[in-house]
Amino acid sequence: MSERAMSPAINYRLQRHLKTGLLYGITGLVLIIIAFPAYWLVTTSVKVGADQATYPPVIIPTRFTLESYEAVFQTAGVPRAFLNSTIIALATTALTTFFGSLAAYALAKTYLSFALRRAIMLWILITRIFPPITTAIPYYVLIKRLHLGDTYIAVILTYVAYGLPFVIWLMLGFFQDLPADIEKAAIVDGCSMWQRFRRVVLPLALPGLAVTAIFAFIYSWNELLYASMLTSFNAKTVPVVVAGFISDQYLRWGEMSALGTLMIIPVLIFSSLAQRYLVRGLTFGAVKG
Amino acid sequence: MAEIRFEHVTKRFGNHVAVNDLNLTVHDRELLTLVGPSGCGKSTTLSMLAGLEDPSSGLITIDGRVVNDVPPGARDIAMVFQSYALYPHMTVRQNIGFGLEVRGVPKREIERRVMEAATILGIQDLLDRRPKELSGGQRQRVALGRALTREPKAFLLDEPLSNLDAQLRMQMRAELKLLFARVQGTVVYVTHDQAEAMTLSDRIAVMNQGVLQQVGTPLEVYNRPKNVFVARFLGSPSMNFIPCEVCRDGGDTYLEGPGLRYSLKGELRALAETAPDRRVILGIRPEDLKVVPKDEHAGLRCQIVLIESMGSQQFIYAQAGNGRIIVTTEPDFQATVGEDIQLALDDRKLHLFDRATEQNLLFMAAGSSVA
Repeated sequence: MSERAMSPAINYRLQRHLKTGLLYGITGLVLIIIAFPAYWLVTTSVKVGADQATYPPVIIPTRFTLESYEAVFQTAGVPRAFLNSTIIALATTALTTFFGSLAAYALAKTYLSFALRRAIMLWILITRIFPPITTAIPYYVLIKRLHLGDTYIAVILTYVAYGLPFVIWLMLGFFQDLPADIEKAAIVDGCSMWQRFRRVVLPLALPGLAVTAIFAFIYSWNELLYASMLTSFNAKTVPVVVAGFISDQYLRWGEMSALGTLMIIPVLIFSSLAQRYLVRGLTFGAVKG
Repeated sequence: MAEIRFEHVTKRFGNHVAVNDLNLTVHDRELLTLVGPSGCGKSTTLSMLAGLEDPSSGLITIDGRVVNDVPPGARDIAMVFQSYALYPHMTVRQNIGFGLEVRGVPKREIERRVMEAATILGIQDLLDRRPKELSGGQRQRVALGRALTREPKAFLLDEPLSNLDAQLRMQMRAELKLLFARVQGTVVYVTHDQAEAMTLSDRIAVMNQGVLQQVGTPLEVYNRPKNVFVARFLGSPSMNFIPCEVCRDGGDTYLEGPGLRYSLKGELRALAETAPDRRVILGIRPEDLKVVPKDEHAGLRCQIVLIESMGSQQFIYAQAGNGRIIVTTEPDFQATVGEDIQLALDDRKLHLFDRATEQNLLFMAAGSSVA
């Protein structure tokens, strides 16, 4: 009798432990999959040459060196590339978030029929639907004809055009979620549309703005295709330099990894700065008790 | 301060008529309450006055100036929202002063007016806090402060107390009344709460389905409701309605309904006889019914089905024929469920409505107008 009464309880406990174990197992696996490339990048940058690309691979290196970093710093144009990348990424981020949020605000606050709104939103997205490579050649020709080859403007214009749809889509949701009464209060308080946007709406949409800014920064920081096509020396960005370590004669894994590792640092700094605005529930306290 | 007028104002949303041919005057320095159930058009009316909605037709004037095409910020009105709508990223001080800042009022003047409003509302200690650090009642005060500092021509309040708990709501109701008596502003106050309307207002405007039903002082509207809707809406518990026939027996005229045969005399008799097809609805407020010994003839016979004790008074629910009657009694009134009781009526406290139109016969005879 007691055995029969006990066994379901034990079964249940066992099941629960198994479930918890499984959950941790899967979480761990996913974490490893996500973190492994970063681990591989950083470790490869400090591996000695023989350990960099060998079979079987050296997963946990035992010999360390900073030779790859020395080589990177001796490579011509690296500091310039970092400066270029920083200027281009910051300008792109500022312009896309600014114009993107203006466009999103206009879309969020304009009375449009459902079908028209959908059509506009799809149209905005359409530039992101086809792969960038499909427009690469006409784009290259266009930039050449405008005599903008190898300039910041060429790269920034391209990135802004590609970044805007994303910013508009993301910010639209944030603007639509803002309590309508707050804006009405601002209207009655005498704000013009611009004052309303700048003094009331934008501060409340800061978390959204921070997210979009991080994404815009990462996108423009890492972009390779257009950067390699539109720049050669003056506006050359870091990813293009990284790609330069690949040639038909050699594959410099160490230098690529070292520069790749260095590339992560500005992104981390920017993200952590922007993250301060990712305060959840900023609008809490505006409405209701 | 200013007089506000609505002249034949209609607001349509597609096919839906939210406000239908509204004619209403809010006098200078008056607190007028727009009251009605949700969807009756009261908030739309307020939004049109604020300039947040455009009327489909008709004119709105503030202080003699037509404001239909004047943007909200230039109408010189201040508004308090049901949700308070405080700016969460600003401190209380910035919230209160924001309207002045936008208008380019000098900093020192803003500071003076913010302090003045904060002192009136007792929130001087909260000036450097943000809205999320405040309780519901405190947020309410900040929202009021924001309106006060503007020193506008009119204050518009959209259900300002409905997010507060019952006790705080009563307290704030009294404070609001004192506050507006002090600032002597023209106030348009929207609420669905008849108790707020009755206690706060100089005059009440009752709305239903976009149509203004009646305007008058709280007591006028309560004691002489123009129709069944107004009679039912004001007062808690609600007025009792008994469908009756006006019958004649020899020289005698009486009302006959479920559990009721009531002889009519004098003015009331004359009034009952004006009923178009002799079919009326008799309206009696619960507090106007009196339980009397069973052997008295006059009145309403019914059976008690439920007793609710409220502490200070008692509500007795009784069945009269197939209708339900509510009576208010003293708290110590002894009664038991299932008991038969007799209720006495008072001629002066009876309301007669035409059954077909639900209009008060008093107004039908006079050839009525809303105001």
